[in-house]
Amino acid sequence: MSEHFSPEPLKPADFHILLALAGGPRHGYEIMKEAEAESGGRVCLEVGTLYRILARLLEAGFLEEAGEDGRRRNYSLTRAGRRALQAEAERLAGVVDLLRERRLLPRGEA
Amino acid sequence: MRSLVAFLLRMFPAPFRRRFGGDLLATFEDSWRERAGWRLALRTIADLSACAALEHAAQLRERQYRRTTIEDRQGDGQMNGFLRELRFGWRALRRSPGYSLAAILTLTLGIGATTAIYSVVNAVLVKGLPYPHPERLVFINEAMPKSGMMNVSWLDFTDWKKQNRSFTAMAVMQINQTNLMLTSGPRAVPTAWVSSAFFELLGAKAAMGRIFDEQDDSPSAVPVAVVSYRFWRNQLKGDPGAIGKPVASRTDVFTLAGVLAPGFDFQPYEIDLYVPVGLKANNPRFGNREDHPGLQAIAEMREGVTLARARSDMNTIMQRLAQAYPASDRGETATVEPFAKRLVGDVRSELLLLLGAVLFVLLIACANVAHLGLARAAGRRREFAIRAAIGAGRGRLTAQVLAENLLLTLIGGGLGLAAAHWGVPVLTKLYPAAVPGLKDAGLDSSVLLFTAGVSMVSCLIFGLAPMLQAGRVGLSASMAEGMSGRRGRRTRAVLFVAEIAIAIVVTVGAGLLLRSLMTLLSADPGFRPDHLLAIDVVRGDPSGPANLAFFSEAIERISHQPGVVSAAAIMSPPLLGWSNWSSPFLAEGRADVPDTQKPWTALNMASPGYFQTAGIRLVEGRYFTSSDDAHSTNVAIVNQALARRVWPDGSAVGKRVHVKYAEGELLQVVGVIADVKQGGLESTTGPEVFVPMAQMPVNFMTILVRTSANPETLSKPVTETIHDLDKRLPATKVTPMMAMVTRWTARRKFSALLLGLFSGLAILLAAVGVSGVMAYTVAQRMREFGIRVAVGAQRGQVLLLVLKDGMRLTALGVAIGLGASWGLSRLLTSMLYRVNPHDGLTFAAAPVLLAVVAVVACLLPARMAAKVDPMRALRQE
Repeated sequence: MSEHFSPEPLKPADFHILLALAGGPRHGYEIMKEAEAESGGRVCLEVGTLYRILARLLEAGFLEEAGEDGRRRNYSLTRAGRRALQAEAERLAGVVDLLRERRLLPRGEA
Repeated sequence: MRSLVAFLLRMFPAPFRRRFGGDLLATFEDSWRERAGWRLALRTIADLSACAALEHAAQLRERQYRRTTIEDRQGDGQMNGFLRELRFGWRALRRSPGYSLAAILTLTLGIGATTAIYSVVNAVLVKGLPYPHPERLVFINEAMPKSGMMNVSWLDFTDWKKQNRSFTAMAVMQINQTNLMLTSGPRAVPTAWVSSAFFELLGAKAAMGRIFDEQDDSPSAVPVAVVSYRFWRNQLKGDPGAIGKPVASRTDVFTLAGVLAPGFDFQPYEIDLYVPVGLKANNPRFGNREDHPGLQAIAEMREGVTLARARSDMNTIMQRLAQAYPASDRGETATVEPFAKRLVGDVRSELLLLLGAVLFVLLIACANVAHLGLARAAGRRREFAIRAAIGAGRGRLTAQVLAENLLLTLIGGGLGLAAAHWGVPVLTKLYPAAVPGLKDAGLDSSVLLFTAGVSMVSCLIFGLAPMLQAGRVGLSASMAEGMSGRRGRRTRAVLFVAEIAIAIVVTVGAGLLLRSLMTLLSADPGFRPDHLLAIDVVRGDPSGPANLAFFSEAIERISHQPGVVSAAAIMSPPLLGWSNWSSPFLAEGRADVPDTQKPWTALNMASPGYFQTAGIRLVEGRYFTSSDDAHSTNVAIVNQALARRVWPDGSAVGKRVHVKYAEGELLQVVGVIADVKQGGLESTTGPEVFVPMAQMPVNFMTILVRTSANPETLSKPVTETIHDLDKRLPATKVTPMMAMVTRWTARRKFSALLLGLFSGLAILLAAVGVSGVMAYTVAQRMREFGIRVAVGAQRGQVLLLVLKDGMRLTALGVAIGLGASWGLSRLLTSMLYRVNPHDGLTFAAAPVLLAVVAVVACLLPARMAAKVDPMRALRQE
């Protein structure tokens, strides 16, 4: 299961972890903090869960290790990971358009 | 904590641990540094346990997948590995329904009780108070060297607001009742006079209209009011046009400015009417710095300000005020107390105690299931050995036991959740005190997480030994090894001892609470609460003579009613929980000092006949009579606490005492009465001065009626008499005094009952467990007993042999349990009432009780041993 396009919707936690890494390589704690902040506190990961997901994303080829700072490793997005993130973003944008069409969301607000 | 996480990491499969262990630990250290606390600790433990189990499951699945793809794809190919184990496990459990039911029932009991208690802990302690920054909110009070905590002087408060550097905002409130004239008739409504910052501090929003602001909060403003959603719905009948209409009492008219959002409540007061306290700023009592007109201050500490810094800031201000206004403020200090401590302080230790006890019960439950599992694993030696012989590896056998245990945990945990779902409402309803957050207790995500964690940990505790056992059996070719081996015997002994020890700890805790309750129930309140009815009357009329006339007439009429022995009135009735008024006092002739340095006394107004009606003992002198009136000398009756303190060597009667806030100030003591529990059944009585109602009439009093019949039968005729006298009186509160006594003991009864229940459960589970362990041991040794009997041992001797074995283990368990209790019971000190945490009786009774239970529990297996048939026993195996 190396690089491949992921048509399936990402799980919220996976999405926020990939999103956190979109800005460049991060280590576990930074990912945890960023995912929590960017999801408005909804994705609140404990360490065990965090590393289980990281393991899964590494396995899926979405992430790769990007050096270490002595204490722990950094991770960064692979091309496949970036593509999966983009696909998810497009999917979400599509949903937003649909919601606006059905007047469930006000226009002009992101 | 780091080492605990490191330890928990060892539960993960090795590949995962090797790859991520170090990183995980580093990440945990980072988050611990930032938000260390038991909440994070608990979440991490639950998370790691669950993740470890999930990783193991995933790994097994993968391995199984690989193996099945290679070996037996053709079999039940579409079922993946662990699912198959679960299916196997399910069949195996159904084959031995006795074992499964016993294990599930035990786990349901343990997990259900734990979940129910944790739901309450979660709602009251973990979630915190429903305000924007509950951890930064504090109560601020004033205190004097000889008076304890007091409410706040208005002028002091305005200076605090200007001078403090620790708080984002400060507010005061004065809580009382307003007799509102509503369309449904007059009604006493719980009212808070608050400054405008109050709403912002507590995050209250308006559902309709607006909340009042600083402009409304001044004496010259048009009086406005804000009401609770509950009041708007129930009393204003949900009128959509209510805003702008008047809300009136007999003396004040407020314009309704807004209705608060439904979720907001200032717990535990249940205030319905909020009005600006600034309207009273010109009131002479507010203008007098010496006066403390029932104001409570609340404030929010700035971000980063610690409690210690806020306290030192407040004390600096108080020292400054003491210099500027020595007459009123010298020696005064300020106390700063977190919201949580004031509002849930006592409840906290109680809930944690219950949680601790229930976790102990769960531990015993796990020990029982562990033993059941061990015995079962031993019974299946043959099955495992055969499966090992035809190629099942050690991992496979372990996985199967793991699957069975997971199923048991899942079912037990699920049923436990269901039990808690039904049990929590019962628990919160029975809880006899108003605690913020309690009403909202229920199963939410954090409770579910907790239950999942607790279930997983339980699964590890009870499942580990049988799992290892299965693996070993699978390995060892000689089937006689395993459970009956030395290692098995030691495991069983450990379980036996642990169950007894834990049961001792829980029983000692329950015993101490029970002793406290008994002491409290036999405490003397200082009056006779039976056949005594209390009717609270609050009149809207401020005129002194009119109030005196009203109460005198009411007493007169009531005392002539059938079934009434006597009637009287008192301002602050016994067991009220507080005194309405207090005052500095000084015996005549003693050197004068500023008021802040004087001792303070409760000040109370009584009608003639109050002491006789309430059944309060006269120690010396005389009671009040009807000739102690506005025209005669100002007299006082004092309690023994005051008399002993001021005139330790002589009689108090005939002496005179200055009581600043009493009418006439210099009072002649005419009598001394026995101490009455004013502040609640557990309080120690402070000084109290009674003055005749006729010399200092007030508009709110409690009428006490001594009855010959059941007091409740009189509540209707008596209240009718009172309302006939004043048609504009709102509904009055009628309480039999016995109900007040019960109220003060209710919480202790509740926690003693619940802990007693847990202790009973612990003892029962321990008895079942101990009996099971002994039965198993006896079954193992049947051959030996057979030989003993065959060579001439008496059956009694065999019986004794087994009992002795049991007693040896019991003694060890008792010793360990007592040791642990000795250490742990000190944590209970704050919850005990006049009972030593190392109370001899409790510490003696608990081991005796457990020893008796253990003997009975061992007797059954012992008799089984004694009845051994030597021929059959020898033929076995």
